[in-house]
Amino acid sequence: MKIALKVKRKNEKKWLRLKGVVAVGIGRIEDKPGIIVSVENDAWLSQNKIPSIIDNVPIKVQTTGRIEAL
Amino acid sequence: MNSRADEIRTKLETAKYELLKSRNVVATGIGYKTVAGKITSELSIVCSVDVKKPKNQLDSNDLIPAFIQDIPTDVNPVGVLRAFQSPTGRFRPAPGGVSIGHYLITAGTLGCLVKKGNDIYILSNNHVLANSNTASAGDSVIQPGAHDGGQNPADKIAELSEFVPIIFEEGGDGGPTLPPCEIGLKTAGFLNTLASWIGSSTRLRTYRIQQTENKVDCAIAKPVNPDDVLTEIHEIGQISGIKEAELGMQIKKSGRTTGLTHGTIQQTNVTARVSYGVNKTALFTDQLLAGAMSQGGDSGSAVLSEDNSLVGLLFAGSDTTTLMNRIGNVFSALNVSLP
Repeated sequence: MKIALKVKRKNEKKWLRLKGVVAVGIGRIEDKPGIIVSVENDAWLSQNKIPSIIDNVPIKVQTTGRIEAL
Repeated sequence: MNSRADEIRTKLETAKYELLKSRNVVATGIGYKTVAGKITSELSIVCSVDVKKPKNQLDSNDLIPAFIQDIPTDVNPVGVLRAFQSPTGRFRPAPGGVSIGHYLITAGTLGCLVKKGNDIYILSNNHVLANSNTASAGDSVIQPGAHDGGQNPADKIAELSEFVPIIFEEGGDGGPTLPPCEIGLKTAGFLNTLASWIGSSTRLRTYRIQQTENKVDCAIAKPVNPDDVLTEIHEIGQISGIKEAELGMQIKKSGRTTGLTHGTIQQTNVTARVSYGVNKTALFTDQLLAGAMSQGGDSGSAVLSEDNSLVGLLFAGSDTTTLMNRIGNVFSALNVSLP
């Protein structure tokens, strides 16, 4: 968990500057603490690359759509 | 057995009017008689009462006979029966989970009650009670919200007291930034000095609590009449305490649009960019994320664990996600606690 937080802290600003990235958080990826990057749409995935692992911490990109105040 | 049920049904048709004259009876029906907490196989006329009282505390007119002709009766305490009411309706007193809003917004959700000093306040989002930074202390908060037919001042339930300003992003996707509140601070300071000269014990407080980064979208409003609000949450009940949310925790909320829904904490320590209308975004840190369990109008809902501990304040989401502030961040930003 601590390493996942460290990797997240180091990279999230850079990722959130990419257009279409809406959130970066800590979740479970195959029962391991990992980083989940949420993006607006599926097209983002074909145009951008985020590594699937950094310092042994798994990273998953998922499509959530735009996050709006409800 | 069916013929016995039919026989009882016929007799109940006439007996029910007499039974309902008893002040405690709230409903009559047919059911198996319960003896010493166990359901028997004997059919009876069941009289539902709000509270079961000993015979010596009842007026003779309110006593339920043990038999009506040859049919045994049973008395079943059920509490006061209330018609199920949609959370978009007008509630007095109003519980958490129902429609509310600053008089200039559409509608959001009344989260729950909180305590500050000796006073009780309504907790919801800044964008629900304070119209996303643009409202002033003392502004009307109406229940239900304007979108649900609420009128100002006829449905005024509270006045905006304090809010934590949202810092909006500048440039690019960002929209307007926080309006400067220096003038407000200076004015309050000057008026407080003036008040001290003339001996007034009432002080104007600045209603903005600054945050350096967005961790919360929250505000409190003071009920005009404390009897108009309830500590319970619609369809959930009383809050049992507060708790830190963890990955995998089962949660629930009761909101104005989707009512009672359940979910799971899927992510913690979330940094998220949230849209507040066209070209207006704000970056939030230290958020909690769950799956789809909310829609527009559910903002402000209290999020609870399955054992009714308060864990978050719902404020944003997409078709597949729900985003909430940690309740610890909300309570410390507003300096409030549970009543």
